[in-house]
Amino acid sequence: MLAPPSLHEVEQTLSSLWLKESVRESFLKGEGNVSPRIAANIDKSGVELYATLLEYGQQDLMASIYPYCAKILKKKWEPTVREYFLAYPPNHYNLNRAAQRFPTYLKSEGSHFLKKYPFLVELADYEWLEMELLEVDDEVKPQPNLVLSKPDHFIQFAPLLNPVLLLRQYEYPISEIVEKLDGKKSISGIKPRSSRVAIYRHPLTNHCKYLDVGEIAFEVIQASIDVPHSYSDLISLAVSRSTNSDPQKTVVEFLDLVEKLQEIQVFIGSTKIA
Amino acid sequence: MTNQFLAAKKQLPNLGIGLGLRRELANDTFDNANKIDWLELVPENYMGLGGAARQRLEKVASRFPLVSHGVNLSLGSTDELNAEYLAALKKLLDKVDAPWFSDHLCFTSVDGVYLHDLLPLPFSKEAVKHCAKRAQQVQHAVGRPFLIENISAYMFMPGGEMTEAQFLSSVLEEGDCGMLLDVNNVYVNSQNHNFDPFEFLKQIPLERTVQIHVAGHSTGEGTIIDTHGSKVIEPVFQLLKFVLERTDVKAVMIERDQNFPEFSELIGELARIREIAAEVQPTLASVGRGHLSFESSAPIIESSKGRENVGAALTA
Ligand SMILES: [Fe+2]
Repeated sequence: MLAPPSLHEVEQTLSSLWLKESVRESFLKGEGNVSPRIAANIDKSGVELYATLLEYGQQDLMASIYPYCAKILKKKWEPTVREYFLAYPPNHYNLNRAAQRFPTYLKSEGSHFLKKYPFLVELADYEWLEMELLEVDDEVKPQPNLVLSKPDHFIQFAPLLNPVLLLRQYEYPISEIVEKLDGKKSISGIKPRSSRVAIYRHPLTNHCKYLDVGEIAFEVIQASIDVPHSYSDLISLAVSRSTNSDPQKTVVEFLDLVEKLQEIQVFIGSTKIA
Repeated sequence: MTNQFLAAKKQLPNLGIGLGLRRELANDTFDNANKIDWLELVPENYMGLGGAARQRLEKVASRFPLVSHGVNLSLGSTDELNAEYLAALKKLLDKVDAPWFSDHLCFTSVDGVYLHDLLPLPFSKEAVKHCAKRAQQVQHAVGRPFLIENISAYMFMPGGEMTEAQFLSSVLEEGDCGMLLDVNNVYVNSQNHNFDPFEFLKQIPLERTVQIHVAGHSTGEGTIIDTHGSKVIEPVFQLLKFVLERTDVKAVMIERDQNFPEFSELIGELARIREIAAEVQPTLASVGRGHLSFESSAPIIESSKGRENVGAALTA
């Protein structure tokens, strides 16, 4: 008489049958290498039912996080999700994190897609970042905005950057691609064009916003990420990067930018640094 | 076997009739706070998370007694208990001061891989020993009473040596913990595996029941699925009544995870539970919070991105 299978053997064997189509198919055909002491007692329709339920969960999750990638890959989306879960099985109790490594998967194993859609890794990254920021465990308390009315304010104060924010520089105009997909327009002629985007969670609505930013705005935000830099330092940075021959004009543009960033909660206030 | 839990049960608060907190239902839940005695939250949807989840948590914690119902403790897994998970869970439970917490008699991970579903265990002696030991470890690590829920299982796992009722009873008694009895899961299993649900209830230690789940399931040909996506059917209410007639229960609630109806339908189901409780266990029905009034506040703006982990089978 065969010894009863161990708990670990049962969990491992059944998980593999539920999750891996190839293992399941050969088992259902009576082939494969499932240990005979387990194989004889496995309910085949149960295996198929759990496989369906598990895959439904995976597809539902990925479609909610990567709707644009799904739109692009059309019929190839579902098999891609299946392959992704085989290559990068979830390793965390947080369900949404199961989707985190999809951009990595596309980069390393999606070369067949990248020929046709070379921006796909960047698009997946763009889509994932929203999910990541939605969950970031950081409480953002907007501070009152300081009116920069005295020259000293520029030296003594720095803008306070929303801590739930990420910056990305992409090789493709990802926001434009998303807009086209929303408008059901063709994306076939998309050429590489550098784009910069700030993605952040609005402290009042908790929704994520995507902000397309120019080169100087990108640098100003980037400089403020780790350490607050005074308004005057940031003005110097803007002037040094500007191609505008009139520094006065750059300063005015900088002040407009600060106002806009405050309004949309990329800057959530000012902090005294000196 | 010890029964310290039964003594501890007597000290647990009587929460009344509640609802599972879901982001899709959150704003309606606040708006109907006077008809809902308490809420159950899924800790994985709040552990270490900020944004709307944190806002929702703070809002509900200020209005409702909360208990926690986990989906990824993976009690029956042969992987080590996840220390990071337990620490985050403890932190959350301390924050909301939950009178107890629960998870399922299942496994959700193996060899470091999370399957994100409630998967059945073999009804074996090894699994009983394993789950009972881990239930005690979990209860000790978290420092609050732990309840185990019976699941809906769509297949028997190889290696079984006893019935589901014997398996559940042995884990509860050897682990000396409480039961979260899901009467819909009892019904679903009784239909799929062809047994009498009332007989099943007679075979398990009902006196360990602290909390009861009531839910709907898919209907149709073949296997029925515990979707938490449709109305509660009358036979499930009858199972609830059967249990309430036999043992003191601290809390009963509706689980609704998908295919969300008009909120009034859920309020109607809560009223039906209250009616049953009033008849057979009046203390449970009388917790009512109707005398409390809440200041109105801005609704939470929920996102539809990503998914809440709910532990019920999601079927289109
Ligand atoms: Fe349940």
